[in-house]
Amino acid sequence: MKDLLKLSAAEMARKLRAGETTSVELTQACLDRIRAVDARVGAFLSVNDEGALAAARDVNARRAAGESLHRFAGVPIAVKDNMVTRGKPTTCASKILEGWLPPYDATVVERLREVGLPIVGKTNMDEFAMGSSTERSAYGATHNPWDLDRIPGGSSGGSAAAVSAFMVPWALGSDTGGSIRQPAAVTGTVGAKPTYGGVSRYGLVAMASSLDQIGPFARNVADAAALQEIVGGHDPRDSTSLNAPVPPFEEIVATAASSAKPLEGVRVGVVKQLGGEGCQEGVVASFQEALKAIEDLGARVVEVSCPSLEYALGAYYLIMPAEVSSNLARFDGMRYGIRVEPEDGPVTAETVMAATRGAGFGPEVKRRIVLGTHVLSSGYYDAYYGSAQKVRTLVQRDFDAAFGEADVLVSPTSPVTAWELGSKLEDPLAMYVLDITTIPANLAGIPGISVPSGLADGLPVGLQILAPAHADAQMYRVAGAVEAGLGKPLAQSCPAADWEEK
Amino acid sequence: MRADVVVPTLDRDEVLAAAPASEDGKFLVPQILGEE
Repeated sequence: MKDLLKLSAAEMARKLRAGETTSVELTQACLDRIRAVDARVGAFLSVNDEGALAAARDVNARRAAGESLHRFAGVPIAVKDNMVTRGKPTTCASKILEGWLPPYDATVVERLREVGLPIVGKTNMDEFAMGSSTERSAYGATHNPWDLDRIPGGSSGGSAAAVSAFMVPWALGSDTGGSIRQPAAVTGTVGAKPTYGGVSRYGLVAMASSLDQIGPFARNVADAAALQEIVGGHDPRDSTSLNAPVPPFEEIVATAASSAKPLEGVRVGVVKQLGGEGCQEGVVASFQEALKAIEDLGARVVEVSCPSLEYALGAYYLIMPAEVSSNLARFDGMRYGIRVEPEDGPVTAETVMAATRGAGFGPEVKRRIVLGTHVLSSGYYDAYYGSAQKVRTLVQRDFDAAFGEADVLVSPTSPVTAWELGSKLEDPLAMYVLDITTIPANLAGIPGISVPSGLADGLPVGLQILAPAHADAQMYRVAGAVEAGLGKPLAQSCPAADWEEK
Repeated sequence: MRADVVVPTLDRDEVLAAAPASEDGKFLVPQILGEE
């Protein structure tokens, strides 16, 4: 593997500015790396050599012409396959969108192009982002670069694995119930879910619109912060987009990382309900070590209680499928995607829709559509969806109270490390319950980040840091301090660095 | 109220090229009602 690929996005950008490498060289190195190792990882659903190299050549030419470019211009990136890219495949890892070429770019994709980040490809995911292991992709599972027999987390497992295996320095994912933070945790990378509305959802194929949020993956906190700065900010095409300036997250991280006692006076709350119960032993041990490091950085660690979190999982698995059933109604085989006609009987819009959806959706997607349709049916609406919305309010109030006692909250990102591929596919509930640590942030709309806290039995463990809504800067500040306090970023020691390239 | 300005729209041919079936610049869809 080229040493160049082990660099962070910021280091790559510095070399580009100094003329020590070019965007074409970097992009080609990423493409070669993907070619050499992705057969065993399965991180990408499509690779766009031509488009990425064209973007890289453009940056090279503009730099040569002395144009003033964005600081990160020319650094390659990967994008999860549920963000639309004009004229390039966007499948959401579903058969129903096989062959579809979107007629427009998502806002985040537009911003990457404006900055001049060559998009090398689209990454694998659980179908329509429904899953926590990337085994629910219709195009095959992604493997964890730390141990290829294990899951890379999900649903943004392809983005996490691509970053972890040094195919790209950073990538975009989306997080509806933990789909950025959990894969980051189990692949030893950094992954952040911004405050709801912080990053435009225009062009993100919706799963559950009130919970979905796009965010960055990187191998260190500063790169993640820089990427959120690039894609974040107001977009009039997303009515839930926040109209507020984007703080200088990257600079905030740098300041925190270089101070001796960066967390002096900061109150760090340990959420009682997200700590020990159901957590793997090694995960608890790593979490305790992280807490010690946090205290050494000058913070005061306090315990806080969020009693409503007990009901959060139940509420999430009602609200999310309800929105899924509504959002996925658009896949009807009429205007885009595949169309399947029934084998016998009349060919009408209704029978074509049924045949198309029957053939195009996988089992997990169908399960959630059926569940969501049921909870929204008139006889059950109040009992299920109505109650779940009340729980959502209670969760928000719990967090409000907790943030009265602490500036940020911490927990293990996932109760467990990466499990073996196939081991949890039979029982959907076994996988759902593991989302308990991440879903409360989506229900409340608050920002959360996963930072590697160490290893348990050779597998990465993540520390989750949650901050109040609109306080992403505070989250990045603490994340940057903790990362520096724990030593060099864990992602640098991923075994994928030593793989033989074929 | 915001200004009434023309903004870029989706390209019709590009949209229809991605449709399962089209005819005369329109989506071609199955009949809505059955024979009964």
